[in-house]
Amino acid sequence: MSLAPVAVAASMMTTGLLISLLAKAFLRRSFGIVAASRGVRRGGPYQLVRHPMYSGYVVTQMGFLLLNPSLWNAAVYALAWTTLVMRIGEEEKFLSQDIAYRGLSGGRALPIDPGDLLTLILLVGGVTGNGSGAIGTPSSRKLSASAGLAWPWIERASASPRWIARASSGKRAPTCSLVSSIFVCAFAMSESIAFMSESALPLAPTRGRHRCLIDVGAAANRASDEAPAALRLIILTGGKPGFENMALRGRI
Amino acid sequence: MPTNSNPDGAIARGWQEARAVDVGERLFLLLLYGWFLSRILPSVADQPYNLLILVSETVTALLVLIRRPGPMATSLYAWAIAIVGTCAPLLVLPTPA
Repeated sequence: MSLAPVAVAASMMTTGLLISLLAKAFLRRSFGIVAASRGVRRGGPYQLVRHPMYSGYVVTQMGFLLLNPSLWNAAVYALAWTTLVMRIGEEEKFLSQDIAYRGLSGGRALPIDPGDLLTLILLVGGVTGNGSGAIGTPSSRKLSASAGLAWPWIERASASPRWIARASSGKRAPTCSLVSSIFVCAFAMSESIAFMSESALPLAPTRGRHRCLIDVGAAANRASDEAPAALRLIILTGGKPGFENMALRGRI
Repeated sequence: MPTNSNPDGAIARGWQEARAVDVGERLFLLLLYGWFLSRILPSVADQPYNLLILVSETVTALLVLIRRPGPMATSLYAWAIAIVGTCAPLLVLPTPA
């Protein structure tokens, strides 16, 4: 079951894949998983975003999550995205030792923008909180996800000297737009997961009944157009445990 | 008595250790990638777009295997977040279409 139209999720996956492939094409063999100095890249997407490959990964993975939604997958990606932010910090620290890299950023390595970091933390919190239904109250989860969504625009609207300086240098604007786009998708996803988890919660205390519904659902899927009749029969005859009350109501 | 009487030997040992860690990391990733492939590939019949995540992770794994050597961060923290960050996405599971 997909959380979004397949075309939307597939487009996200394709876009993210193209971004990360383009970044890899410019990195070539200077690619690695541990922070390392294999030469500084300046071309292609690296002119616009400092870590375009990571941006591509996140977009692709969000598309996959929309197509294959599960709490396990959401938790796996929450962990992956959190470590991704930590890796960016570590890479910036390591690369700042390179004179060529320091030259790119006016004498020092560009740190992670606190606004982007806060956005990511809020969104990851909102997505995982919504997904599990266990972190915070529904209001706080919605607030977290909304704050993550709104932050790039708040930052842009504030028109601070820092923002103006970066925007005029041509480096900040694409990053901000990309981050904003990612978070719009994440927000939609978190809301969808929240809807799913809220729908499933009332069934949690009666697991036997829930299991029975799943079995009936699976049988319905297998039986295709015969399913509605089969389902009515099961409910009306009360032949399955957990459907007695519904059968009684049906008879009345 | 000098403690570092053979600096060439120490350098060679250090290089060998770094090489061993490098090879070990690639082998670990390769194993995990094999597991990922075995789970995602059968799901492509039901959900063809899962092929895109397969391509994405395959290119990543391939580039790790053929990457250029260079001075790397040696701290445990850097290695831990790198390994978790690279390997975690390989743990996803396809859901029925």
